[in-house]
Amino acid sequence: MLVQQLINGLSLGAVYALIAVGFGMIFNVLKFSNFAHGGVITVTAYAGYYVAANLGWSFLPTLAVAILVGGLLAMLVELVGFRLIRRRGGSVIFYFVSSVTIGMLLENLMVIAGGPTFYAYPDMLAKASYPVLGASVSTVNLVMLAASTLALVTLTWVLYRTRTGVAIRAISADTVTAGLMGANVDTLIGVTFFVSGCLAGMTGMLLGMTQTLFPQLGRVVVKGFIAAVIGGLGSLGGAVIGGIFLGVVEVMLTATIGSGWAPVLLFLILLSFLAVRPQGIAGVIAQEKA
Amino acid sequence: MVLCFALAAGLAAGCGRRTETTERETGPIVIGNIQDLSAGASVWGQGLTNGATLAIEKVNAEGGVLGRELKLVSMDMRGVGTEAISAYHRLVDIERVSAIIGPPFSDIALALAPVTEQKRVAVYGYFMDERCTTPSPGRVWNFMFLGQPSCGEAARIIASYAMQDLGLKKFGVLFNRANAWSVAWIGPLVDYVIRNGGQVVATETCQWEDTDYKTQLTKILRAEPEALVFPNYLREIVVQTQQARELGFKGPIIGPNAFFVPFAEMAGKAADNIYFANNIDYGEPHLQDFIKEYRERFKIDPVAHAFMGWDAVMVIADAINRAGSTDPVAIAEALATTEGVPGLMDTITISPHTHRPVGMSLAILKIENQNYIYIGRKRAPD
Repeated sequence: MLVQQLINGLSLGAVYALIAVGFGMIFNVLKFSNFAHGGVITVTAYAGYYVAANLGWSFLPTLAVAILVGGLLAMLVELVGFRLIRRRGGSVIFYFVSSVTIGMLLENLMVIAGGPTFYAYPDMLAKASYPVLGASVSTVNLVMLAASTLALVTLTWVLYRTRTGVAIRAISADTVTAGLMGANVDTLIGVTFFVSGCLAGMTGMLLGMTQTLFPQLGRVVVKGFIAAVIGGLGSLGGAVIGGIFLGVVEVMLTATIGSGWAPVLLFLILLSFLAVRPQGIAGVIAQEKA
Repeated sequence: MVLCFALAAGLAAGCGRRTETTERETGPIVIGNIQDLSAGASVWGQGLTNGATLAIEKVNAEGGVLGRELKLVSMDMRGVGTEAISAYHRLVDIERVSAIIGPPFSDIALALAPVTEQKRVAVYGYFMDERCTTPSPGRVWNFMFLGQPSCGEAARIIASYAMQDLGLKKFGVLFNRANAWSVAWIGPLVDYVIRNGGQVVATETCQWEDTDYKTQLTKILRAEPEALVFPNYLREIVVQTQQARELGFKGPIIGPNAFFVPFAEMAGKAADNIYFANNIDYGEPHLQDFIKEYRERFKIDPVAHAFMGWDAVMVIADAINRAGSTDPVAIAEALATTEGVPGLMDTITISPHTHRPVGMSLAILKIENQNYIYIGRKRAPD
């Protein structure tokens, strides 16, 4: 049973990690917690469902659509919700309010567009789960784990090995100075949102496949946020570690003390963690400054 | 000056009251409807509202009630208790309704019940937890009425089928501890299983916000149950069923009417070897006209709650007729003595002592390869 619970924890952690990486990217650059990420997750889940159920597309093309929709929508969110605030040098609270508002707006748009019905993705995978060491591993969770790892590796490579990555890191350190040095701040921030949106698209579709489709699907972003905080806000590696850590601890607590007390203890652990190590597991301490 | 203002306000209030009274006596008879129309259980809320709408249209086409038309005023409570209570106040104070169709949520009805004692407008609904109608043995909420078998009856019906007809003895249970309906299901089920020589080998709980149940299911499956019991809502049971199958469980799953349409379509391949007690079956001859009309009108199959919406309007219309008045208190008194009203789900007789239906049956359905198969009707054993 321990192996199965560990796999359950890793599976759940993969979900949190994928959200936390997308979340962490925006924090890395703009230093605010982008709760509109949850809204983008919801919309992309519906977009993926539309092409899978109505057009009969298979898994990979559907995933590509969800990723693209997520990327474009996140860029639109940045343009509408954050660009003006950034240009006016608005405080972090404006970013926060705007992100929460956009998240709710997108959720309510899906209530209108999707109607009051639940939806479920058609079966797109040949096999729902695979046996591993006598335990069962969900195929979607395997994809999520692989996607988190791939996203982390790719993003790290882009951030540290390409000129665009260097420019994004420069903006992350100081937006104004990076702009004065010739970096196209608007474009680079747009690219960052695009990539974050792509991750939201991937998350949305995979969550929709495992948890059915409903307008409040994106609220899981809160757990991704907690994972990002545990991992060290602003650290992409930390986000993955935080996500896996949160998933495994949550599952182990639920397995030992039950689902009633597990969230209570989980939040107590988080509070203690923040008191003892506010910089998170990765050791990065990033302050909100926008 | 103050005196003048007070007099003017008093006159205005008096005029308003007179106008409202006149409207209640001459305009359409207003029936309120409080449902989740946009959140997690909106499939049910929308279905119930659709069913009620068709019933209202039928009653009006046949001349209405007391020579007046019925009018349905629906409010979206978005699955939130406080919203439901606000909607109740609004329907009573502003819309001046004569009776209300309540949401099919026990936890919300539990919060609503004391409010109905103050406002004295009846709520007829599908909140199956017995406490929604009888807060304690021998005591009844005067304005709360249930229109289907209670949790205890529904649990005993499916448990008796599982044990007597399927020969199952060992059960594993996963229920939502934050959902009064789910909790109210479990006690009678466990009690019935144990009294009849069976065992509940594992009981695990979940919460509203849970989306991954593999942890609990892993623990339950380790106890090697012959069958799983999921007395939970639609979104929960879809994921729970899929995850139980992913973990390798191939045995029967039993549960409540949440397993009815659209469950099988949503759960996909996992929707197999499932038994549940439902209010109706699509194949029942007396339902064919309703189903046809519903599909034509709403372009969708009716969920179980659509039939409830129809029955609720018919029972309330019968009560208004017998009360001979649109006075909410008189209607509540008439609801308590409802007898033999032909509904879609069954013939409805309400006990004045419990405000719950007497001897109502449920249809036992099986899901096999995503298809619903009717087995038969069953009443609750003692």
